[in-house]
Amino acid sequence: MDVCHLRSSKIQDISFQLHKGEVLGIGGLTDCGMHELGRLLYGIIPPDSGYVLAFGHHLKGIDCAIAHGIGYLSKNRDDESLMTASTIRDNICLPSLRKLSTGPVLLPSKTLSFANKWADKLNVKMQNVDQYVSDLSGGNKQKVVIAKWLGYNADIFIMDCPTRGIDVGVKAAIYRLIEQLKKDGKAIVMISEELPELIGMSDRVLVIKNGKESAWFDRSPQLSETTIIEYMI
Amino acid sequence: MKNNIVLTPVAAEGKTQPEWVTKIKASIPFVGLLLVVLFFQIISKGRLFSSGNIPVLINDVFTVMLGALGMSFLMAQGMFDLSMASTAAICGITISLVIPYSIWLALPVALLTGLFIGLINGFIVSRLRVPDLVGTLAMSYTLTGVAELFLGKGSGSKAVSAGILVFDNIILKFITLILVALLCLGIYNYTSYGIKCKAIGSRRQAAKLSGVKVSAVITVAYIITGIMSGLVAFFSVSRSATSSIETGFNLHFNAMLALTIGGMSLAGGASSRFRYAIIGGLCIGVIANGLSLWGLGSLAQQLIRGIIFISVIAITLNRKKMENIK
Repeated sequence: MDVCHLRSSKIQDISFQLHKGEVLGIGGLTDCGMHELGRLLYGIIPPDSGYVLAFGHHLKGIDCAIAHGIGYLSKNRDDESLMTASTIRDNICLPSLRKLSTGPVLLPSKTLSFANKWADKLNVKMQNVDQYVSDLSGGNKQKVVIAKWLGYNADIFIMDCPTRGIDVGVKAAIYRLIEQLKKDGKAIVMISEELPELIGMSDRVLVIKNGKESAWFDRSPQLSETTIIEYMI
Repeated sequence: MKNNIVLTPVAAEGKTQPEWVTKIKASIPFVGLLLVVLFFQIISKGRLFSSGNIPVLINDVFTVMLGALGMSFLMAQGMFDLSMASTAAICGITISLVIPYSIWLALPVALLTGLFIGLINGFIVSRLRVPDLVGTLAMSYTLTGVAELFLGKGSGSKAVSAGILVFDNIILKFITLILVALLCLGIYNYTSYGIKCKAIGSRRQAAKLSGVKVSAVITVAYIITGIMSGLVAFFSVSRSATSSIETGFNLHFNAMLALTIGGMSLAGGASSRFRYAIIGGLCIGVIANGLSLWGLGSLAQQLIRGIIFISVIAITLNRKKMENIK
């Protein structure tokens, strides 16, 4: 994924390349524009100038991003990533409906086995896939979101605050999952407000300040929270 | 900013209920239907299921159920089409215009007219972003205006060649209803379209971010209600051999009433089931027929329907989900 000179109301001239099997951490203060950057990458808001390429294709809008294998985990999980008043099954199957259909027909047995497969793979704690998502804990909800995009076979994950509002136990599970995704060759953009997670998980960290690139860090044992904070404010 | 400590709110809506509660809730519409049938069977002294009344009963159920089937896709998304009745009136007019050439043109032309109006409704609601209630209400006035232009003001009507009466056949209606119901059932439960409709009703933004082409899904749903209005208009005209402003009268109101009485939530979403249209359609059809048997005039019937509608909604409305009604 290539990002070239992206500009919008809150982002000024940000460029980077994201490689296969890489976790790119993006940090900064909440209103520095990093959350908007995630939305720009996924095409929810159009950039004023600059462009995003995925596998050599220009991305224009959400449908285009999804078609080229990008999955998005919103910071507002319950509003944008999940239909909480809907079943786990419907949530997991939603992006993959075309894949699951044979011609115009979509058999319920197919969505059932598909949802079961991916919910099991991610260890979602539930009674069955026809349970409502609103019954799940924050961590399990996030697992459903990840299951949705894994099932779709997304290659690039844009994760905006992936562990927001998730308890410590499940947090570790989410980290292990990100490690696994990385091993499987997925590329991950992890936008996070939590410094330990940025330092611990990312191969590279981009720090954004007032919408501009402030600093780049590579993974290293010397990298400390205080250094990052210096570049944040 | 310590946004990250904000705890995920515990599920406010849809707490898991014991299984028997869910079962009882699911059976309410069935029991209601049974009670309605029993009530009118007794009050009409057995005339409800008399051989003389059954064709009339099928006629009543037919119209209501077609409307409910058509509207079910839209209501699953939490949206409405208030222009169905006036769409039917316009379809009636286009039928009256083509009948002189051939009676076989009547049905295709009615369906095409409905499709076209549905397309306009879909455009208004999905592309122009006019709220569905306002948009289709305005459309309904516009269409009624056009209809009055053709038929003359007030309750004008236009006689249509009596040839069309051949389609006023109870068996034909019965078969049509079965076919349409099966087709809708297929689309609703066995295509991705049904899931997408419910997804939009559950949370439009999440559906959009999961790759659902929201505008297209909405537009198709309006096309379905449009086509269904055309079908209703066709059978309505063929019953009376007149095209009037009253063609399809109350169609959308009865459809909404049927769906809510069947158990559909006004907000749509995942709890929407196909059977709501069937049960509700039967229920409202029987009520309409029973009230006529009872000898109530159309004004009293409207009054009763209005009261039923408000009561059903007041009882079933999930007020916690009100934010979803936009």
